[in-house]
Amino acid sequence: MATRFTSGKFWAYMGLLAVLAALPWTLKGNYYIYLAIMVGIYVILVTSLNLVIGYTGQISLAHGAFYGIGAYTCSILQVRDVLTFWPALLVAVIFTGVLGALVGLPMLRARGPYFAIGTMCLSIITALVLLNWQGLTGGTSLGGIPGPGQPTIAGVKIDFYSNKVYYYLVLIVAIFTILAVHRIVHSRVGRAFMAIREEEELAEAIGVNPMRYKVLSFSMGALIAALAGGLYSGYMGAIDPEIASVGMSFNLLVMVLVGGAGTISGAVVGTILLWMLPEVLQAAEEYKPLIFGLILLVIIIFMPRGIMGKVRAIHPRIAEWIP
Amino acid sequence: MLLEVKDVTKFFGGLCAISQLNFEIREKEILGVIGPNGSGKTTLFNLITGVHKSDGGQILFRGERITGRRPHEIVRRGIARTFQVTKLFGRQTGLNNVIMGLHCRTHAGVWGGLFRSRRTRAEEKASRESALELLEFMHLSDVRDTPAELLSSAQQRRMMMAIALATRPTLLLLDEPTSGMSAEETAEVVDLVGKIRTGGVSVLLIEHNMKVAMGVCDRIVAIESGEKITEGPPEEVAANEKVIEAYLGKD
Repeated sequence: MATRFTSGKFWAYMGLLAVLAALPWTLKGNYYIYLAIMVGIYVILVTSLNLVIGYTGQISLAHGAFYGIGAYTCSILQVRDVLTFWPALLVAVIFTGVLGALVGLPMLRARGPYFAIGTMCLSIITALVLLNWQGLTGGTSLGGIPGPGQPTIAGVKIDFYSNKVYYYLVLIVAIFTILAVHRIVHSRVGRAFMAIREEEELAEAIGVNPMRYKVLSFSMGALIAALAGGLYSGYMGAIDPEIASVGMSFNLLVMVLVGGAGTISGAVVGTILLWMLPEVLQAAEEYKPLIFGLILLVIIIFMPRGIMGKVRAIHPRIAEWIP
Repeated sequence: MLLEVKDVTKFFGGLCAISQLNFEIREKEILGVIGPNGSGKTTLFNLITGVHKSDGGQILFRGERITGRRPHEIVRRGIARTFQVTKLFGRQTGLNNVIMGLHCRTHAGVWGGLFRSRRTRAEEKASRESALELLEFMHLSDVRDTPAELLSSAQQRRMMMAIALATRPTLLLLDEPTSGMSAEETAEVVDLVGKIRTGGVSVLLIEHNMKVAMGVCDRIVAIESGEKITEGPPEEVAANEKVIEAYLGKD
């Protein structure tokens, strides 16, 4: 343990953590804290999608659907006074994880582009159902979601309506998501995912049941996406079916590929880059797809393994420091 | 008897790839399968390992029927294989490739990975140690940190054997392990195959190079067009008229 606390790497990460903790106090205006919260939620989403795309090699366009289903499940339970935010979040996460497994079981039989198209259809269907099942979802928008509110824990009132407090909530969940995914991919289960990604026939020949691990990865991705969805609904107080659309899934896919599929840091870098770029360029919403498309094109041609894939390949020492 | 192949038949469409094939492998035996291109050798491997489903007959491993089982179930029972076309986990280091091969002999699941319990950490440590031993055995110690896709083709073929051995098989199926190798590299593999047998593993070997097959095998099965033409000690098979005919054509 002594080495762990004296290593440069440990202090580098501590420094990064300190910067992230100080961030909301340095940002001027609520808009930038809103951006930081959205980046945090997307880091959770992209990191979990990376598990499916980057580590297991299955190009899924259903991640937006699971994000939406998680957000709606969590919200509907609250709006109908069935549960409060935290238990509703737990139910949403478990429900979406199980749904991911049930949907993955038939869909993951399809391979490569066929799986991508199948999951794309899943996103389209989900968005349509959310829009048209008005009795359940409220149609074009579902508002009045209480979220975590202002609970008092051990005599201290925690105001989740405050942007700063919500930022810390999202930050903590994002950090735990990254740690969890990092641990999974460096375990026997993660090696089975990567075996499937790299050579499915050989994976099977060494005893990996491809279906079992593909479904596991897909289901874990869905579960974490629902967590992000619940956090989003609790922050915004209102949600709409757009969050489950193909466009949403596509944006997440671009973030994974640009950052570097199959690298932990890539999911973070890709998310930050694609959130910040339109801001820096002061681009209107309708130009976003154009920017995303162009960036994706350039990255795929010049860095097939994404930005962090390229950076990590420069030197083993860099790969050791940046996961 | 370790493996019994009984009346196994396989059709691809109307083409009969394997026709009522019978043979057996004994404990600690090196059995060679020879035959011209397209005679059904690799199909035979795919039938034994469960990649293809046979259309007739059955395959028994240690007396248990394995016909119809999936590849990942069969390797668990102790039959490992290599591929004719090199297949490796290209982006992984040499060490990781072999550790991946230990999948079916390790147990950690999602919770073990997440919480890194004492048991999981002990398992990881043991995996690493036995993978390092296997790398040394296959003369691959110096490439343990090199991505598999960057190895020489001879190293890659030995790496494929190391991965197969990591599954702790009692029967190892090698599909042309020396293809594309120099005489020196071939001799190295032949020597290793002998050592693997000494370690208690039976070997079923597909070999194109007759010299290699003659040198290393205890017995040889010769097949042509999916049918067994003869079986016996190497010298007998080499002298068999039908074998000579199949390889060289009729005078």
